[in-house]
Amino acid sequence: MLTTFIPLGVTLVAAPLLPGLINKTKAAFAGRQGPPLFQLYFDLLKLLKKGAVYSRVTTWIFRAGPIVSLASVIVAALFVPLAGHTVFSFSGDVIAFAYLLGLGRFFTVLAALDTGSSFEGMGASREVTFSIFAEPTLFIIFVILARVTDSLSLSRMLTQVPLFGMPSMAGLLALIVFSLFVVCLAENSRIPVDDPATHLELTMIHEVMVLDHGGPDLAFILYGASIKLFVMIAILAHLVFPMQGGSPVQTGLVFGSLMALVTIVIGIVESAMARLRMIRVPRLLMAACMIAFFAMIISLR
Amino acid sequence: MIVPMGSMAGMCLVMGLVPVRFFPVLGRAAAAAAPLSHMDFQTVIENSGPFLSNVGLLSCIFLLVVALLFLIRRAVLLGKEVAQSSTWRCGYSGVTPRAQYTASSFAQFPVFLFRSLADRRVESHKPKGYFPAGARFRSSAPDLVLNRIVSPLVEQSLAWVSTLRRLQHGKVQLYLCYMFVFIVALFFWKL
Repeated sequence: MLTTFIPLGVTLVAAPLLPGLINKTKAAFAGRQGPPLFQLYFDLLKLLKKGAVYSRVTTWIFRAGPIVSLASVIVAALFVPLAGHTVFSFSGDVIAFAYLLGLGRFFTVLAALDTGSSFEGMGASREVTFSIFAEPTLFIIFVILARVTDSLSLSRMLTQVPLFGMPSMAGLLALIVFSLFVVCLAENSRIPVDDPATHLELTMIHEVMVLDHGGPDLAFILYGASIKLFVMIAILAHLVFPMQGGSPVQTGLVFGSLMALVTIVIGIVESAMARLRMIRVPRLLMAACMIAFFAMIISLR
Repeated sequence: MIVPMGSMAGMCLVMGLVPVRFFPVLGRAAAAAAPLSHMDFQTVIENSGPFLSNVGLLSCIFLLVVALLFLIRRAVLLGKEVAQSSTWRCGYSGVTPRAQYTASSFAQFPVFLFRSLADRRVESHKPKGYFPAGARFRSSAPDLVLNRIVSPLVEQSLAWVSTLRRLQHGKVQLYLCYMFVFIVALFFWKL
């Protein structure tokens, strides 16, 4: 019984490590030492020790935003397999997974609008606009995986994908992985879609929405963002190299290395690319959507 | 207004938490509208049982996590200062109802991206000169389906149907003539 919850425990403990690894990679590319690998853990502890300041114009929605968004990604993480092991799974959970991510975004957007600030409203508008393109891509990818594996369970889709190691499926796998990688960058507000390091409201998307949060609320938001990144990278890692069962230590090591590799690739992309102009971002997401659509056509053969 | 809306929202919440209880009732109503036989309906209910149980379980887990996080935040903030202040001042200083972020502002970016479909109309008079007398900006996105599809269809249909108004002119003699013609026509039809 207890071993069932090990993947969730690993997710909750290891998630803040990934932003640190991305920052380390970016620092290495820039020839700097960069912040420590565990910087986000220190930030979270510091924020949890602080008090809270709430705007007078905000309502309970603002206070509920960080809690609901963190709860939604934690529950979504239950469906994602880690090294082939899942906490909770049922046929159709893939829809629940997508909508849980959507619920988290919805409450973050509501909390941003609740402040009455024009800047946070602009960020909220951008967030939902880009999700118009990112969500269909995610659903198309799930449709392809459902067709290939004949299953509607996320864990079965990712652990039994017969794409890896089959030359005839290499093209399909490449298209799916590329589309999902772009969705991963967009969903987690990474370069070239958004820059998590910028603090200029006019160019921000996700960061501008959470400007009014501080203390434990901001800690919840940062922690939730790291879990979301962890979950998306875990899906990518499983897609590239599906694994089921086997020795926990062996599969865990392989899976951990794959996770680190995908994270480093994100860091390399962030080091090599500049942030796209706001108006160009929908084109990138549309391209990812079209590529996923082509992959779906190929899968129908 | 709040009570009916709240009760409907509450019903939605209960249906999400225990969908197994509600599905047979709702399914029966849906089966009456859809061309489903009683057997088909029974099969659908039996097959969807495990799925609905899992959806209910998932909803309960979600609410439990929300409650747990709420308690954690409360515990963390215990004994610390929870202050009230104004919203982050950048771009918000001295805000008035005229400068509020409105629904059309929120939709501006997606409307711009889908401008070929959205039919956005902008009326803008920019300030001119060193001492501008006034400026004005107004934008609207009229309902595309209503304006481009429904209204033209209704107007065209009305124009066609209005030709039949010639039959309704108020002359009793002609109405009697119509009645006579139809009665004769019915008589022959029945024969």
